[in-house]
Amino acid sequence: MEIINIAATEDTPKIVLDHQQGIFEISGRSLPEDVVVFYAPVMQWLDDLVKNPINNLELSIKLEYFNTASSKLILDILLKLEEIFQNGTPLKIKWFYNASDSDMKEAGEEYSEIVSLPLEITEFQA
Amino acid sequence: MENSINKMTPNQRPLSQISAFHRLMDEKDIALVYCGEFSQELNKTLLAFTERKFKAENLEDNTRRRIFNIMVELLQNMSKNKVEITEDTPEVSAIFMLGTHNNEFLLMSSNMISNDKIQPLKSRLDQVNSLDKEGLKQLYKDVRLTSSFNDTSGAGIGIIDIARKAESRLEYNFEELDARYSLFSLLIRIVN
Amino acid sequence: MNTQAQEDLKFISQVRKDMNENQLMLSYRGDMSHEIVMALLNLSERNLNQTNFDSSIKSRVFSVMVECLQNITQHSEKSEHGRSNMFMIGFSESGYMVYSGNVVKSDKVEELKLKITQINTMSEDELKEFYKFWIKNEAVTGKSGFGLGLIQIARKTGNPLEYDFEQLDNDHYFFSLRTLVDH
Repeated sequence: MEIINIAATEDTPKIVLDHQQGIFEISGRSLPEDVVVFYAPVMQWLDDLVKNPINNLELSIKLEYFNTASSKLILDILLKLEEIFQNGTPLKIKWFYNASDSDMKEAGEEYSEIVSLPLEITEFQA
Repeated sequence: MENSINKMTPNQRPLSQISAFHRLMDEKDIALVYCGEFSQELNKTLLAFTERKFKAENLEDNTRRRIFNIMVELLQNMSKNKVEITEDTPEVSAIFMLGTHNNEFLLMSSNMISNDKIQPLKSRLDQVNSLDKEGLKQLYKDVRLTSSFNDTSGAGIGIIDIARKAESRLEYNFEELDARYSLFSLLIRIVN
Repeated sequence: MNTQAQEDLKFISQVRKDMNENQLMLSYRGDMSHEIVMALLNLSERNLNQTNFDSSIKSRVFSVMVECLQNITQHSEKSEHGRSNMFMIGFSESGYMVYSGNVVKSDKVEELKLKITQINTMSEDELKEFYKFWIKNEAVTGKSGFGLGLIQIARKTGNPLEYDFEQLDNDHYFFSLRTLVDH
């Protein structure tokens, strides 16, 4: 499995998909011009994950903001993980929201209504 | 359309009025207008915006630098001369505008200024407008040697610097608002 | 001072008057690339942070700004009319206003009108279900199936989307959108 480590920029999130360290995280802001291009490595990594599942993977999603184009990609990511989960590999999504950001909390709840996999919605204090 | 705007408050203008304003901006080639309070922080952000925009448009480095440097001085003057709007002052917001027309860039500003600052400012403006390139260079040197740090009139070296970089007449006017304050408007033309 | 200069200086005051009457603080007109969108967002965010609005209101306004701006970069048509893209923001006691405008092809007008009218008739719950439907069903091609952006703008503002289409020529209209986020 490849290790993905992309630093955050003003319009793209930090992405860490590191099976060696056991860190799986997407955090920051997501509003790139071309979401497909930006998230391509992530989708590729997920395709690899289907073939080489990791037990008890915990993906943290801690976004400050994402545009609607990103929201589709996030759904695509969750759907891929749902596929892996339904194939029998235990995993969990931790969706974080800033205590003052009720919209982000709601966004997490909406995703949990659309996909069927363990999605824990947790508040954090900035 | 109209019947869905039942949330429109009395002081919310019809969309058509904003469209008219947009058309005006189009006719006069105004790219950016900022109206409100000018501070160090805001100035920094306005500068960053302009820099980024011009870079994206592949504007020649030299012209970009000139516009940028003039903007720095202009905005700094605006925040230095800022009049806090209170119940005792006229309620006139400061405004900064950036326009492009043919091969020219226009930087415009208008803000309140206390009347005691008018004379030194006017003198300086008339002075720089009367000098040629060499004259301005000399004046800049002279003032730099003699100006004090406490010169808050905005009539210091900033205006000279603007004139040198603009390479054109600085157009201005003063409009009296009341016994203590006037409106100072400035227009700077930069030819590409 | 020559008359041109006099006129130009008077013009500054006129613009101030128009900005004040329309309760605008920032007005941008011109090209809209991703770079410029990011620069405008930074500038607008600064303006937004100057207000004492709740942080959840601020993040809603930010969302609306992003969607409006990115709609322009995605859908704007070049037009020879010199009518360029517009982005304006301002705030008053009513709330925070975001106005955006761009040229669109005539054949897109009816569709756009229908979508906005449809969205404007929906309740909060209906909009939520609508959003969930379309996020599942749109292909990620960059040009969206319905326009998740419009749906989200409506959800975030909680107000009807106010719009206008102005005919420029046989093939082009100028589409403007005004949104208001209550506070």
